[in-house]
Amino acid sequence: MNGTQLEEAFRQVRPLYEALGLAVERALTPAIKSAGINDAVITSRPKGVDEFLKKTVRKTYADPMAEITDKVGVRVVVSLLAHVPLIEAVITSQFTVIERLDKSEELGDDQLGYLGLHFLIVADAGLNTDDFDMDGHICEIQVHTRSQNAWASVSHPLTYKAGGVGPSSSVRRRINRLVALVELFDQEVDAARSQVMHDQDVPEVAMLDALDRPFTVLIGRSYDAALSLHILHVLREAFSEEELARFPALIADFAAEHGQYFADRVNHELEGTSVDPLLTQPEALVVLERLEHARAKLRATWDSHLEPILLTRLSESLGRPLQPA
Amino acid sequence: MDIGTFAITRVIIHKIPRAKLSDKTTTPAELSDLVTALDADQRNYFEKRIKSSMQKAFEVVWDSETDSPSPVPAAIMGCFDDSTYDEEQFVEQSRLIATHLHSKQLGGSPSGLLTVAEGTIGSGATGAIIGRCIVVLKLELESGISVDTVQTGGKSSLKVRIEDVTLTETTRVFKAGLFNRFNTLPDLKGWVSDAQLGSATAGRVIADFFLEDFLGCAMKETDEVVTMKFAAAADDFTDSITDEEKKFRYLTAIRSELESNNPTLDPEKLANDHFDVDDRDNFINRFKLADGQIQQIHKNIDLIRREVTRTWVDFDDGVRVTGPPEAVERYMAAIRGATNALGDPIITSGIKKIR
Repeated sequence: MNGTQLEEAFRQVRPLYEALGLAVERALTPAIKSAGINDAVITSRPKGVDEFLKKTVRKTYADPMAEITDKVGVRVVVSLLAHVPLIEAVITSQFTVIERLDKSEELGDDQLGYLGLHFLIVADAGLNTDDFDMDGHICEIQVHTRSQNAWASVSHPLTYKAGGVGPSSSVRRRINRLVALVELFDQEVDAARSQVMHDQDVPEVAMLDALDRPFTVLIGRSYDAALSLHILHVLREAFSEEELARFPALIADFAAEHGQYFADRVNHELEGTSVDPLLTQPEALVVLERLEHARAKLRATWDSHLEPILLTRLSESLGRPLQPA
Repeated sequence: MDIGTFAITRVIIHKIPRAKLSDKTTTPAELSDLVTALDADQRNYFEKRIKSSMQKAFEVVWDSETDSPSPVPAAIMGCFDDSTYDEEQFVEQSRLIATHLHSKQLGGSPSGLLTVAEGTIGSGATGAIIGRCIVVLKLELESGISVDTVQTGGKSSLKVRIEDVTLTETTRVFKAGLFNRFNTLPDLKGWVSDAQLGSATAGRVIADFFLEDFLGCAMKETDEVVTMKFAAAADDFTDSITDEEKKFRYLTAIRSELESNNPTLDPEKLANDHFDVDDRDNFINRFKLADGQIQQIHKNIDLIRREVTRTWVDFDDGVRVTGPPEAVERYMAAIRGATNALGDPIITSGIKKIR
């Protein structure tokens, strides 16, 4: 197949791969939210015709149409390194993975270079659209942290191998030195987060962490974390020490039993235009839990720190009206 | 029935003018021919008001012993007959209900809106059965809500305007009856709330009018039995309090509420008014119904008058102090404060039981 034939062949299949990328993106989005990650950025992009042709020039392929497997790529970018294994679990549960490549494992312990986790998945009929039969087609999924993604975006054009000749040793050294920062950055962010979660002086952070996953799964909306911490600082007084000690389990149990009710109430309210802003915050789940089990303590605690009308309105929106004290 | 899951499916509103009995024919009710279109905010507003009303509602049944039966139960039952029920039927039955209210309402009643809402209770997702229910809502026209008559193809309906749908109106007078599906009148079961029920002066009269004359219902349990059960549950609560001084204070508050002229008793309000914060939910949760509502008590202490009007304090040494709760509390306080010449308390024996 000469260059012109190859170009035409890829041009013809490119819309299918574009649709495949979008289908994978659509499948991943709710599954990742269900895993409790609400800030992952998921994008898809088919390879450009020129990129495809350039790749066939840079490398030697017997059958480029069959051998080039990244005709479409889906990228999942997460905030925390700790989220990467969760994303991997989602990918392996959603798709048939035919190849897994941890780029860091390719590097020796004395080497620095591109980091990231790559998967090749093979589509089945479940991803078919009205226009395309996806069965058997391959899609690449890359999983990056934000810092890995930033490094890859910046370094890629700098390490481009013009005519098979890479950048000079000093340029490569400069670029690879940055990878050390990326590794350090991700690990420090995870460590700092872990430390904050276990900080006894700020228990609201751990409370919010326990709420984040069920809230994301049930409601799937972003929220104002600073507002959450402010309200949780008050709400924790409505719990006994014993209840606070088992707060994550308490919330998980409550969400399992009443989560659908909570989601139904929130979604019902969201059909209107005058939605109580506190309703779409994770702490609304805590308020509902207290309304079920300790409404008087909730009322007294809230009223001593916050505007009573806010709780009255929120309780009404949650379908558990609480009269003003 | 979890009232929190209540969702309106359609609503019709009729205008009931103020009219003396003699003027009923010259000042007729303004009956709508069509259901009222509500946007999501207005729908949410009505749902919240109904849920709030039902939070403090009484369980009712069909009043089979009345001499002058109300047509309202049969009209509501018509909304559950799937073989004939449709929107036209809903409108028709609501007009019957509004006409009956207009004919029965006394001249002193202010003009208002009779709203009949069809809704569902329950969520399929939680496994509960989604059931149709009918709500009859009587509200007074006041600032914040207004209606305009709209003509569509020669038929009239009322368009609602709510000035601020986020406004929490705790003072607005609502009377509401919510009825789940029933197929024969003896099977009628529902919930009725009335913001004026708590009024010591007018409460009973209003209850009789709205509940019996208009809705054709009666309280599910007699007031005497409900009050007796409340007192027993309240005793269980005070028995769980280990601090004797606190127990005495709570007992006095409960008995004082039971003896007051107020015809109703709200356990939540009682707890919030008289108990320490940490003890309130222990009390309130005893009166929480399966659907999340707090049981309201329509008081009648005839069966427990002796227990309510007297308090007994038994001491470990066999001494018993008894009398009206307030008198015993004053007496006990005086004893607690008194000391002998050496500064020791006069009573050294512990309290064995308070009831």
